[in-house]
Amino acid sequence: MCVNVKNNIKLKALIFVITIVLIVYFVKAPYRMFANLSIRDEYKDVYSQYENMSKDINMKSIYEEKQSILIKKVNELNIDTEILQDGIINELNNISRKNSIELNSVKFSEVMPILSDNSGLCMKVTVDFDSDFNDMLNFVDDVKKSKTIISIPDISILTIKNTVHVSLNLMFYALPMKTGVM
Amino acid sequence: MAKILSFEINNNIKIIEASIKGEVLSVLRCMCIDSVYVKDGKIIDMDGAVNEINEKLKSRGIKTKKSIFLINSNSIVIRKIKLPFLKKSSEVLSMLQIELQQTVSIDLSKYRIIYELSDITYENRIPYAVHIVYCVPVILVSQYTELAAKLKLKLLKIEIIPNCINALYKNNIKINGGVLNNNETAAFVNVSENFVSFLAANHGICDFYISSYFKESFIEMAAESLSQYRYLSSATADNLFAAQITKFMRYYYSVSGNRSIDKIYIYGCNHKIKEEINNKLNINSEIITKISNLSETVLPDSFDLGKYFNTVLSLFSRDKGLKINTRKLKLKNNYGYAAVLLIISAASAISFGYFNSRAAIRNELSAMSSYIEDRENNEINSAIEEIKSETDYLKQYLQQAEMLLMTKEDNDCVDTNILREINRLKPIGTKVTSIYSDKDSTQLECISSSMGEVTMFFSNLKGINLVDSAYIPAIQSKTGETFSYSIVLKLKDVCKREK
Repeated sequence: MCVNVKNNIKLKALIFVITIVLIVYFVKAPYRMFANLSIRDEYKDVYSQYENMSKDINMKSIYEEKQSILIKKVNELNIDTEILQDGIINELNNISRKNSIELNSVKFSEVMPILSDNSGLCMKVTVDFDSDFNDMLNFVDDVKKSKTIISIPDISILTIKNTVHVSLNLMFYALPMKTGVM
Repeated sequence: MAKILSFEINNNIKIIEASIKGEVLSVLRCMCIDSVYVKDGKIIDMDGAVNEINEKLKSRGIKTKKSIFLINSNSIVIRKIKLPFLKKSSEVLSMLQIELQQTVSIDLSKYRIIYELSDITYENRIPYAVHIVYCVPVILVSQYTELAAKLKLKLLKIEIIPNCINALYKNNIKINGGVLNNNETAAFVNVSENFVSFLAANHGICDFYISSYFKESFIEMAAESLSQYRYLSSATADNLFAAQITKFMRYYYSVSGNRSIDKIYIYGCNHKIKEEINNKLNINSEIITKISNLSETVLPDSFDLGKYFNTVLSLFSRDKGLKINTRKLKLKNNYGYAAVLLIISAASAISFGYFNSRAAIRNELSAMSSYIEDRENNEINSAIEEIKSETDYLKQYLQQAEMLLMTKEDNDCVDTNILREINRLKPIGTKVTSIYSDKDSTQLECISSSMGEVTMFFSNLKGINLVDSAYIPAIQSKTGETFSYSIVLKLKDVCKREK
């Protein structure tokens, strides 16, 4: 009987030990946390870097897609990134030719910053010419339709016999872009 | 060298502390307690005996815990039983119990039974085994176990006096330099002041034990006229011992069937008995003064082999002795073992878990670091960072662009449609000399031929969808033929923007 009891106890102890070992083997979380404490800072830093990096690499295509959508939108807006006087002169010349108008004068102001953060640029251009009333209207329309962003703040028309003398204030706009983008 | 205490309890308590190295026994200390708490091996007062022994051990500074207890009591029943030869000890034991029930008038449930195989004989080619059976009272075993527990000693075994004699033969221990003869029948007589015991060994197995205790010493008894010692003509102490031994021998002869004892070994205190035995009984006798395997170099001064012979022999016995009721002890040991095992296992498991997890985390860290430091991954990551940064910038740029377009819209104040309408609605006799249009209003300078045309033109202008309101500040006519005037038009779109 004593032998049986002894065997039972040893068997129970053995089962208990095996159970503990199995628990330790499979339930690593507490030990993981415990072990984490000693190298917590290092682990935290590296894990954070790894997490960000792997997430970025996995989402690369999504980032690229987002970027291309934004580039497309910016391109669609067709905003000049700088104000070029030669470009303005060229555009005005084309429009006036189209409408059989000879420009008497074109006056340029200095480039001025606009928008609340001064990120945009603008230039005021005053155009004087004599023309037929309808040609003048077509000229104004063509200016408005121009691919260049132009606004017409005011117009002064003076009728002389069958012609009109027009003084037109135009505003040319540009939004500079950081170099290397797009 | 392990130190062991050996206790022999009879009518006194004999204790020796000895150490055993190989086959050699060294007696370190010995003591005898003339106790009133024990009688014929039985403990009459447990607490008294415990106190006595404790005090003695304490006074001698003995701290040894391992112990052997020797039962030296007349209450041990010895029988010779012949059975068909059986190999399994359990079968032998059960057969012996059956036989004992028929031959011995005792309650066997109150006895522990141990046996020795004495001889094997063949009858009609059937082997028979002759067993010497020792029946030890359970109460003695329980008492000795309790005594050991109360003395806080580690009880190794409980031995009985016949087994000590058997140990002499089994271990080939020489007495006084002579080898014991297995074929002889030898008697071992212990003679002390008021005690005499008689043990007989046949074929190296003790098969008889008897003892006698006298309240008065033999010297006192010798002084009296004792008619019961008829065997002797004069009643000296030695004569009385010899007479008692003779009685024991007769008894032995009657129960064993043996008709001769070849040699008598005498030990104890009374050495003069040897002469009496030689003279009166005509049996070769010898006083035990020396036994092999007992170191003589370290014996204490007070040590007398005759006195402590049984106590010493109990240490030579290689038998397991009586099975002690150690269930609780074993259970306790097993629980202790299990607890220690669990603690060690738990500690190992925790350490293993900790280091394993730490190693796993280190590996993970290493893997993550490799991933982070990989050149290709770094290039991809840099490109992605650039894309993200550009994306953020483009978002901001788009917001700014929207604001710029709104500003452009705000500043675009000239509408050709209104100019066309003015030109279309102008009456024939009316001439518009100048037009000025800006954010606030559109102002016309006009000359009309009649007031009617002025009103017609004015009302026509007011009818234009784009015009919110029209206003003529003044009309002048210097000649009375033409009317010059100005008209201020507030356009709806301008108004909306202002609001």
